[in-house]
Amino acid sequence: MDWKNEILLFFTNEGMNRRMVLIGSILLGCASGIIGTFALLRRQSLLGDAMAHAALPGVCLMFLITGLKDPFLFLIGACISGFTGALCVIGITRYSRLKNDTAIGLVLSVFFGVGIVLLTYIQQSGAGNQAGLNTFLFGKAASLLQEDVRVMVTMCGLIIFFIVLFYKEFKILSFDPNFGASLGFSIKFLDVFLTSLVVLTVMVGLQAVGVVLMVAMIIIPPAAARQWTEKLERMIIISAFIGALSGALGAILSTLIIKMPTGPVMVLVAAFFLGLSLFFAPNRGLLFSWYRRWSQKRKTRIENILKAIYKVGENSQNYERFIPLNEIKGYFSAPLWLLRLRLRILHLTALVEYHPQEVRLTSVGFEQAKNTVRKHRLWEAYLSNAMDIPHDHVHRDAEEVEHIFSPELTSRLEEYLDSPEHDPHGKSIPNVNGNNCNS
Amino acid sequence: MLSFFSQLQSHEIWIMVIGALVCSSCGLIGCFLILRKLALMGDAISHAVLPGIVLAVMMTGSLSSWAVFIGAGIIGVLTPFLIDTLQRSGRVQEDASIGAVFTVLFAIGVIMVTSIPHVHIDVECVLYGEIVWTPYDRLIIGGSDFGPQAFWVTGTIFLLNLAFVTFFYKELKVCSFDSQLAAAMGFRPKLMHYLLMAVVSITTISSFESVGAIIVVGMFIAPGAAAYLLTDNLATMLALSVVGGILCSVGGYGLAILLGGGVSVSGSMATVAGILFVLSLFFSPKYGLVFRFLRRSRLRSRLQKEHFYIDIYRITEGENTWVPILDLQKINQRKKTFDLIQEMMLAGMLEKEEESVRLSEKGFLHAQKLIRAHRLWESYMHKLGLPEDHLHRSADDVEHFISPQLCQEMAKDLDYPRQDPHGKPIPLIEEKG
Repeated sequence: MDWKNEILLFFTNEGMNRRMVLIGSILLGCASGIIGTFALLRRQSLLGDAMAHAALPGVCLMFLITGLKDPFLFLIGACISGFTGALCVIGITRYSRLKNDTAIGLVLSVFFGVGIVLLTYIQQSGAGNQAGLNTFLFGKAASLLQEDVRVMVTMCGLIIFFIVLFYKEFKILSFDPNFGASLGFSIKFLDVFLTSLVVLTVMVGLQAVGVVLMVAMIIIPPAAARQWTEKLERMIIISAFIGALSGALGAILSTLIIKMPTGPVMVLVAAFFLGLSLFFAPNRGLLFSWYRRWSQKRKTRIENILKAIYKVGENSQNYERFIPLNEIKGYFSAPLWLLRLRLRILHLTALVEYHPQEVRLTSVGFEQAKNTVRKHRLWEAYLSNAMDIPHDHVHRDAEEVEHIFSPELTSRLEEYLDSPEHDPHGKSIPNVNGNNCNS
Repeated sequence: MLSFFSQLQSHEIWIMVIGALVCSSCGLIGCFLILRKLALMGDAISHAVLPGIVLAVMMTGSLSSWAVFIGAGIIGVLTPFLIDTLQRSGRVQEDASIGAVFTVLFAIGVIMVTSIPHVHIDVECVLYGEIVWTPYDRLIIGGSDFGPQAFWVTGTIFLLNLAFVTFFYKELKVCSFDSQLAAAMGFRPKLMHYLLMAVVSITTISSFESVGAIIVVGMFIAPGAAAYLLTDNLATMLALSVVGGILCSVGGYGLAILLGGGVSVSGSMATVAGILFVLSLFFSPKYGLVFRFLRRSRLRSRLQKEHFYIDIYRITEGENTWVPILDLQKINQRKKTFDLIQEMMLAGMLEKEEESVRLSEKGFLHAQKLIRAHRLWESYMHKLGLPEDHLHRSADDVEHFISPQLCQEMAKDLDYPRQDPHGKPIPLIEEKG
C-alpha cells in the first residue's frame, strides 16, 4: 500500500470524491455533535433512534407519490415522517400511561415495519432499482456525490445558524423550561423547533452513515464532551470538535488506509474518544476519581500508623522513645511484613525513624499524628457533649472523620466546644502548640 | 375472511404458526420489559448481537448453527451488563449509555461483515428477515420430514419463555413492581434481571431468521404495550399479549396477501402490531383516549348544567318563581343558555312560558341539594378557619361531588346551621319516607 500516492491522490482531481466524503463527514460530525448536546441534556438521545427509523416510510411514500429518486425529495419525506414519529413518541408518553422508552421502541419498530412493507411493495411493483432507498438505510458515506455534500453543507450550516441564533432560548429550554415559560418564552414553540432541528440532523446524517450509526453520532460525542466540562458553551464546542474529528478520522481511515465502511469507522473513532474521556477527563474522569480515592485511602493508612505510634507513646508518656514493633502491631490487621514495608516508606518520607524492630515519630510525623488524634477526640467530645450521643457510640464515627476534617473545621469545632481538655473517655486532647509533648 | 382461511395452503399455515410463536414469545417477555422500563433493551440487544453472530459464522461457516446461538447469547447478556456498567459509573446517563453501547457493537459487527472476505451475511436479512422462506427449510431426521425447522426452533423458544414466566412468575412480578421489596424478600432482583436479559437475547436470536431483528423489537413492545393499556392485572396482561402476538401474525400475513403477496410479511406483522396498539390506545375501556374524552366531556356538561340550576336558584333565592331568560343570558352566553334550557326541558327539570323559565318540582329539589351542599361546605370551611372571601371558589368546585351522607355529617358537625357565613339561608331538604 502506497501511502504517499494515496495522499497525493487526495488533492488531485481524481480525489474529488474523497474530498467530498471528508467534508461531508466532518460537517455531519460537527452538526450532530451540537444537536446531540441538546438531545442529551433533554434526555432525548434515543428519540433520535425513533426518528431515524421512522424516516423509512416517509422516503418510500415520497418515491411512491413522485416516482423520482431525488435526494432532496427523500430528505423532505424523511423529515416529515421522522417528525411525525417524534410527535407520536411525545403524544403517547403524554396521553397514555406508557413510559418514554416503550413509546420510543414502539414508534421505532412500527414505523420501520410500515417502511419495510412500503419498500417491498415498491420492489414488487418493479419500479426500477431501489439503490437510493437501500443506501438511505445503511449509508453510503464512501460514495457521497458533490450534490449530496452540497445538501449536507446547506443543512449543517442551517442547523448551526439556528443554534447560534436561538442559543439562549435553547439553553433555557434544556435546563429549566418552567423558568423559561415564566420569562415569556414560548416553550412549546421552542420544543417543536429544537425537535425539528434534531430531525433535520438525523435525516441529513442518514445518507452518510445509515440509521443505527447516526444514532451513535448524536449520542456519543456529547456523552464524551459531558466528561470534560460543566458549562454548556464548552460542552457544545467540545462535542462539535469530537464529532468533527471522528468524522474526519473515520473518513480518512476508511478511504486511505483500510478499505472499510466509513460510517462504522466513524462511530468506532467516536467511541474511542468517549472511552478516553471517561478515563482521562479531569475531575469527572475515572482515573482521577480512582486516584482521589486511592490517595484518600493512603492518607488514612498513614495517619492510622502514625496514630498508633502516638498512642503507644502516650501510654508511656514518652514520645521520644524507640518503640518495639510488637507493641504497635496489635493495632493493625495487616500482616507484619506489610507493616514493615509501610514503615520503611514512612521512614523514607521522614515521618518516622524506623530501624529494624523499632520505630519512633520524627517531629513532622509527631505533629501529623497529634493532629489526627486531636480531630478524633474533638469529634468524640462534640458528639458526646453537643449531640448527646452515648460514650460508647462515638469512637467508630470519629475513626472516619479524623482523616477528612479540614484545619478550619477543627479549630471551629474547638471554639464551639470551648477548648475542651479531655474527650469523653477521659483522654487528653492534644493542643496545636504541642504543649502535650514532654520533650 | 372465511374464503381467506379456506384457501390456505400448508406453507401459509406454517408461516402463520411460526409467526404466531415468535410474536407471542416476544409478547410474553415484552410485558416485563415494559413494566421494568427496559423496553429499549430489546432494541439494544437485537442490534448488538450482530458481532456475536458474525463471529460464530466465521468460526463455523454457517448461519444456522448452535454456535450462532451461543455467540449471540454471550453478546446478548454482555450488552445489558455493559450498559449497566456505563450507567453505574455515574458519568453517562441511562438513555445515552443504551444508545452508545448498542450502536458501537453494531458498528463493530458491520465492520466485521464488510472487511472479512469469506463471511457472507446479508445484513438486511438479519435486520428484517424473511419469514416466507421458513416453511421450506425442513427438519429431516433419518429420512422422515418433521415439518419446518423454524417451527421447532420457535416452538422450543416459546415453551422456554412460557416455562420461564410460569416458573418465575412470583419473582418476576415482585422484581418488576418493587425491586427493593424483592431484595428484602430474598429474591435476588439482579439475578432475575440478567436471567430476563438472557431470555430476551435467546428469543431475539431465534427470531432472526424468521421475522428479523427490528420486527422482534416491535413484537417485544407492541403486544405488551397494547395489553398494558387494557388491564391492570399482570396475568391478564400476559395472556392478552400472547393473544395480541397471534393476531399480529395472522393479521400480518393477511395484510401481506392483501397488498399483493410480494411485500415483507414481517413488516406487515409489525404494521398490524402498530394497528393493534393504536386501537387499544383509543378504545381501551379504562385508559383509552376515546372513553377518557367521553367521560371528561360528560362530566363537563354535567357541571355546566348544575351551575345553571344554581344560577336560577340564586336569582329567585328559594322562591322558585318565573325567571326571565334575559336575566340568565347575563350570566351565560346566549346560545349556551338556549341549549341548556332545551336540554333541561327535555329532562323535565325546567318549565318555560313565554320568555321566562321556572324549575320544575324535580329540578327545584335538585337545585336545593346543590345549594345546600355549597353553603354547608362554605360554613364548614369557615369553621376550619378559612377567611370569608376565600370560601366561594372552593365550594363552587366541590358542590358537585358532595354526597348526601357527607352533607348530613357536615350539618351535624355544624349543629344544623340555618345560614352560611355570607348570611344566605341554607335550604333544608325533607327526607322522604
